[in-house]
Amino acid sequence: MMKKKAMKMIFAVLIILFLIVQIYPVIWLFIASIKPTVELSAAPFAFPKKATLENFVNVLSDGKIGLYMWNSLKVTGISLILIVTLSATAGYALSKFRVRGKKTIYSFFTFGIMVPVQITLIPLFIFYSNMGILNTSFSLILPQVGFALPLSVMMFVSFYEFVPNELIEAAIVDGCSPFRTFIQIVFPLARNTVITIASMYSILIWNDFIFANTFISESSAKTVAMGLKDYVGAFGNVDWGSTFAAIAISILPPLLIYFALNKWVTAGMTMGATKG
Amino acid sequence: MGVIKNKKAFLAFLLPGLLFYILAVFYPIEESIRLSFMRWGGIGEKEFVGFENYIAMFHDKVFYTAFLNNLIYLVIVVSMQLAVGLFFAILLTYMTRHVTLVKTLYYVPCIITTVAITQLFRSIYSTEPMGLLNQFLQAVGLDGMVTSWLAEVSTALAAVSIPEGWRFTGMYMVIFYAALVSLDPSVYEAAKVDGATELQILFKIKMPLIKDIILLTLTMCLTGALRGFDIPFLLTSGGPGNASELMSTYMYKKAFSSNQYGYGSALAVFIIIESILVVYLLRRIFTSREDKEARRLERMQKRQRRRER
Amino acid sequence: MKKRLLSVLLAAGLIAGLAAGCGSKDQEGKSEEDGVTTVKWMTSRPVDGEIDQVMHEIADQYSEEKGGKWKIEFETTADRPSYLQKLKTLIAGKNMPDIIDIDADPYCQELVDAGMLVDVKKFLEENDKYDDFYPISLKYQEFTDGTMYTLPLEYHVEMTWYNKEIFDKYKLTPPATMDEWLNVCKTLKDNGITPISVDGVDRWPVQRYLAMLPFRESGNDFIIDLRDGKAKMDSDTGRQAAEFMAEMGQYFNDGFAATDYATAQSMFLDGKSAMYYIGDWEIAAMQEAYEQGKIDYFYLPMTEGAKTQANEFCVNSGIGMAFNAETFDEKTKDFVLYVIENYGKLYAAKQQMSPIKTELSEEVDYSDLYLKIQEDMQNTGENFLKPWDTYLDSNTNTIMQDNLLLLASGDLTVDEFCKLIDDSIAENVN
Repeated sequence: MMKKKAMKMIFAVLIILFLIVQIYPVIWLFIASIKPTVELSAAPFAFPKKATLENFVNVLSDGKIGLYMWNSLKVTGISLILIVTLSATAGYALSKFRVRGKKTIYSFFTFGIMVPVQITLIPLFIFYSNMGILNTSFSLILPQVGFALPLSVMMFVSFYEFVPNELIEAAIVDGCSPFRTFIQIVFPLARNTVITIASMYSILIWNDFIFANTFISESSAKTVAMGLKDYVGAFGNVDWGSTFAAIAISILPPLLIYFALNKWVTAGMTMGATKG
Repeated sequence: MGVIKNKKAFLAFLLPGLLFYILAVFYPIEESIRLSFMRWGGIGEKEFVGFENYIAMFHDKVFYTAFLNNLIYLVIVVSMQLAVGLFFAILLTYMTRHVTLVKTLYYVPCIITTVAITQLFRSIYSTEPMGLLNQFLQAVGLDGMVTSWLAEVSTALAAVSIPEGWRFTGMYMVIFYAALVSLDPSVYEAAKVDGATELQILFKIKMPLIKDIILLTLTMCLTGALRGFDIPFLLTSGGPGNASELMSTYMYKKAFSSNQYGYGSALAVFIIIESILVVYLLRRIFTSREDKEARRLERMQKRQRRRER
Repeated sequence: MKKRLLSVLLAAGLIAGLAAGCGSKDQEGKSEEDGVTTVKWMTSRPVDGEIDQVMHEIADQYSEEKGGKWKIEFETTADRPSYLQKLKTLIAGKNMPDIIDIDADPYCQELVDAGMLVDVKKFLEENDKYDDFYPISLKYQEFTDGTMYTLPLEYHVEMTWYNKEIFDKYKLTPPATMDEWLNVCKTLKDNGITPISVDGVDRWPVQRYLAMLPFRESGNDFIIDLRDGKAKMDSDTGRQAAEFMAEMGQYFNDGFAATDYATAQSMFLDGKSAMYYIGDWEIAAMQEAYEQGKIDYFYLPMTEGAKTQANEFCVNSGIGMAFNAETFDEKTKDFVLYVIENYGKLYAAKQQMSPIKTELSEEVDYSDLYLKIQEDMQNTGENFLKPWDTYLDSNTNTIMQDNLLLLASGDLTVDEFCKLIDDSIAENVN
């Protein structure tokens, strides 16, 4: 029994050590945001000698960060709705229908997991500029959704495998159409998969830099991740104080949402993982 | 196996997603393949050059460096994310209190933007001012190991891999933990009664039961690592020299800094092929003998049915 | 039931459509709606920096004079690598904005060859504005054949700043020759002091050191010949330059390859390094220490038998403004002339060095440091060191910058370095 207790203590210590490794950076980030830039590059890890809100004043005074966050929110929100809707329906088609060629289409989807996103930049850019839709939210949503689909379709398909075919057969015998079966029976069951996918992709999309940097140039359409680059000065001199203040502001909403919804997110992960 | 045979409904459910996917992923792939046979500097007309870009690629020393680096990067990232993630998930299953809080906090690094992560690690690795890592080494008396980790040729690659691994470890841990606690306790309680040790239970019973999750996460994290880009690019942009060059950073540099869109596309095509191979191998390894047997049976039945028709 | 699905799909489509709708704007560059002309300037200057402020002021003023019938839209990407990537993709997508920022580099030459840019030299001469500029600020914007397609908005000299207290302590004086400079560095290093702090992350500061000796020896001839494949890195001049780089590299701060701009600068200002190479655009940062007598600066030291003079060193007029040949009409011309007339005074009033000759504003209390450097700039010689990154093709430049860090840190030999550069240039010339 003593041995067991000792083991438990060691486990607890390890867990706490790892915890420090994981959250220290976030704390550092907030401390960095209240340091003057000069102090930041001279002694990045010391506590600020003179805490200042100047960085925040700098960032908030031009009001742009609010606009950037709104743009990010728009892109993230619409992308999530599309990802969930499209992958839930496509996954349903690929799992509960008996149609020839289904497997091929499924492999075709999963193939996308392996494609590096950078290759889309030039072709999509040319495509967008011909269509005149650069600098729009859509230009970011299309690749975000497209590249999220493979994995989320895969997750939905493996979830649907757990939905007994008898359930669907019974519904069809009762005269339910495939659509009604989906909306009333299958989709509501998938709540946890939806939450898993949404929580994963909301963060990835919110933080995306590469698509935004390529397809957006007007400051009215910039997203938060791009806005962080506004504090680069002449010849590469970065105002790190302001940058960190902007980062602190920009990660606050996802952080708050995450803590607020945490119960559902981890529950969703639990279910999503065990059934996915 | 599905049960609904309505073809129209099948298309109605499938097509919207499929269209989005084709437009966003396949159209660019097709364009990249086309471009990989061209010479194009971004201005003027494209010139068809056949396999010239591919030939140049296999004569390019940096290409091999990047390829090797990518493998090392892969090993570091995947072992951090999976091994460390799994390890702490297992530890966590022995915790009784505050589990939710710990889980929540572990997940936090995923939320931070790359720009912040890179700047943080730049500060941790540096010697001037003395970064955290070097301060730690000095504190434990390893002064000889103090170095500028990002600037040193021999350490730069590891130094850019670790942040990427660190960042998503928490996410994989949460997934593993979820899988582990959802196992039905009765399965291993019986083994316990039979006198199996904790370790035996872990490796003989629990691990095989969450095999599917491990495969899924392995796929996610392997392909994620093969596409790894932003942290290495922002930390060292492949330097010093090409010491931390990855396939994706090299491709990006060739296309966007050197304006060799054709050559860059050839590299992109290579990355795609490389990723497919990795995932294919992974599936092969993980598909157990029983599964293969089952599949063969299925195929035979199909053939049988066709013949009957 | 099909109806319901259809409505779901429609809703999804609608959302996507809406998203496409928001912020959708005419991408064909200049647009004229309701008689209002809108010009788009894609620019890479610090957001809310002096140039940004002045140009906004001028644009607002001009727009007001035109009764709101004229508007300029700024699209600012301060981060240079992101900016260049975006510019190149825009042009590859046949979507060049009306006004862009670009250096007179080989890529720019390609744009010129494709007939996409306006001949700025001709434009200035036709409108009698050529002599309004400091000659060097315009010469910097020229291609080697003497043509000019970019308009400067800034004007800089680069120098090495040094810590007087450290120099005094070890009885050192600002070096007049390269050999003296190396000796100064050696003395400092022997005494455990970091001689020079360098921003290796941005690459260009390291590249300056490579260019120093060849400039003293032959002006910019060597780099021009190198680019054209007429000279080799593996020649006397080239090897000397590389050897100097390798020697100087020992005196850079530890881990300079991973040191960023802000860190390198604060190391110097905190007295952790004795020297730091940067241009006059950092006057504001240097001001305080300079007034307290803690720091001073010296220009590029001399060599024996140098072809260039002591008052000739790295001068630049920054990234230039270039105009889309297709959309450069009378209205835009009028605006550009308006800018040239008003820019100098407003810009100088922000304690900046203007490329356009101007009286200093009487309302501004210029610092001694500003006035001193301004005087230096009036007295610079005819030659100036033009940064190598504006000469080399982008592929060779990437290779050079990547490998310079290795050369300077002693991880690459001079032979290997020269071979890498020569191979890349040979490939490009072909």
